[in-house]
Amino acid sequence: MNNDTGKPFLKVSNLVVDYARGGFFSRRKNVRFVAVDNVTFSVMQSQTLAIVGQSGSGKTSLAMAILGFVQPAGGTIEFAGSDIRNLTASKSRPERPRIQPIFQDCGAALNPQMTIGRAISDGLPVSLPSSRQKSQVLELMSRVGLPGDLFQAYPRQLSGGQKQRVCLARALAVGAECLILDEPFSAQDLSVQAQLMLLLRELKSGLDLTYLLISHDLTTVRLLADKILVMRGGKMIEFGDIAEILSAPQTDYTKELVRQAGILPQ
Amino acid sequence: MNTLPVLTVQNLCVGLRVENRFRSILDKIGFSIQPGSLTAIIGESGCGKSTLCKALPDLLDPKFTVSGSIELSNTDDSITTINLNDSRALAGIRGRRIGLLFQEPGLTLNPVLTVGRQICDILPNSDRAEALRLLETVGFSEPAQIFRMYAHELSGGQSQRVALALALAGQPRILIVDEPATALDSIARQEFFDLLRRLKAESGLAILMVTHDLHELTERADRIIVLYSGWVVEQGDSRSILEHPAHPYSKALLDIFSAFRKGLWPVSIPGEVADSKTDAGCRFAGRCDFAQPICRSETPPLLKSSDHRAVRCHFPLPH
Repeated sequence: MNNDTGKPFLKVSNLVVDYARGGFFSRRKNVRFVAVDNVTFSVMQSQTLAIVGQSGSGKTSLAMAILGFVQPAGGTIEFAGSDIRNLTASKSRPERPRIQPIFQDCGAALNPQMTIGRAISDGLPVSLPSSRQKSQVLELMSRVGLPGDLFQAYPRQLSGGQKQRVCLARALAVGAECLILDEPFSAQDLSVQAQLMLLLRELKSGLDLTYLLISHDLTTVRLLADKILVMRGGKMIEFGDIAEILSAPQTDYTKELVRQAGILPQ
Repeated sequence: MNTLPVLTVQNLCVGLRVENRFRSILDKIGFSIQPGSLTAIIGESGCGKSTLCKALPDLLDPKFTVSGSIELSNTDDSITTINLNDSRALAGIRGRRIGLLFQEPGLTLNPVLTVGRQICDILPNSDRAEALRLLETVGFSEPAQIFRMYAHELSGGQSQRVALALALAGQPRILIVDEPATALDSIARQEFFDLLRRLKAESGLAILMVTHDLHELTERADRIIVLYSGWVVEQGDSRSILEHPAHPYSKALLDIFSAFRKGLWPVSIPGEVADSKTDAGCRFAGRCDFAQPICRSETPPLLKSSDHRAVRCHFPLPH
């Protein structure tokens, strides 16, 4: 499953993302702030890549560029063999559902006026007959470990962990093959983190999902990840097999991360 | 433990009336805190950890009913007892005797005042030199520069340290800290915890902290309080609890902690805290692997054992 010989599923080459610095009245408004600086990596299908780094290291900007939410200043992003960087809105439409984001603040990602059932069924293909929609939604809900009686519930009635499960079910409803998880656990307590991680592991093996797992917490991500990308100040400072990098970090920064995480030998 | 506890909480109960039904949020919580110690509160979301942190300084919404009392020891070893529904008395100690630090440092800071101005506002005579000294205490190498800055110019770790300086400006002997580091990345988090530890050692500050940080819990906590659904299910010296948890809930929770630290897949606790509201019996019974019929019919008492430990379980796990 995790062989590196096949074609990469997601391939990012020399990606650069920058933003205008300062406000409208700022004297420095023509100065660009480089958030992602020449990052190159690739992920195979059904692999998990952990992207770690401090706040401000460019992890989220990298994810936003892959999702097409920000326009990169340079580089290429290839997904399943095709370049998805410069697609027009109509061309990118069939591609977009295949990569889905899951955010930290899952509560903000759900419409408070929509029931859980509705939120998930909205993602299902329109070609699906409405008679089969409900059973499909219930199947997805059980797949992510939500009890079926929450079908009529509203987001405010759910706990944080349950909301995160709804977001996962919704991403699966649109047919996601690659999930970009931006700090999906950091708002949850440890027992919920454990439940969600076990769920992600189960979904990954059952559905051949590819994950890009963004986090600053090495202790939890190393369980799921096959590969790791360490970022600092927008630059990629280390990339490779997680076991190799954790056992023999090359840069001082990664050494520090490993030390701070308080990782104990098994 | 011969020293006088700096804070003793007795019979703290918090309740809420929802649709004419009384719901207990915290049930008869009692513990004491020694000067210069770190007491960690652990438990899942919804167990009442944050409610506990807010009830002590009277920061809960008035719709909650709070009862119980706290005893604060004064510098001359006399003891002040304050009833927890006495808002005026609690307002007198909030920020002065008990400092507070919450999860979102950004919300603590005033966006339109400089850092220095905010600290000076708390200090007697707006003592600028003292404000700079406080900023230095919380680890800023150039306090004068931070003094002039606004909240939006600070990073997450910096704002949390400024929030700590604000909490220390009232010269508290007790600091209540509710998940101080969840918004920080791992390196800023360690720096922040190191700072708290230094303050604790140098000034004898007693810290009551809600935390999920494994490292912090296992290496540095002196006492642990395990909350479950508004109950203290277990409390005691951290070493003894970490080595031999007696309550099945503490065991399940600590097993997750240690699995993560060792890089092993954890065994999750099935279900959620919210499923555990029962009128009779143990609140954890529905999720407990060791539950017996008696657990569902009779409420277990909080039993104290000799070694400063207490556990609320009909069948505590053997050592």
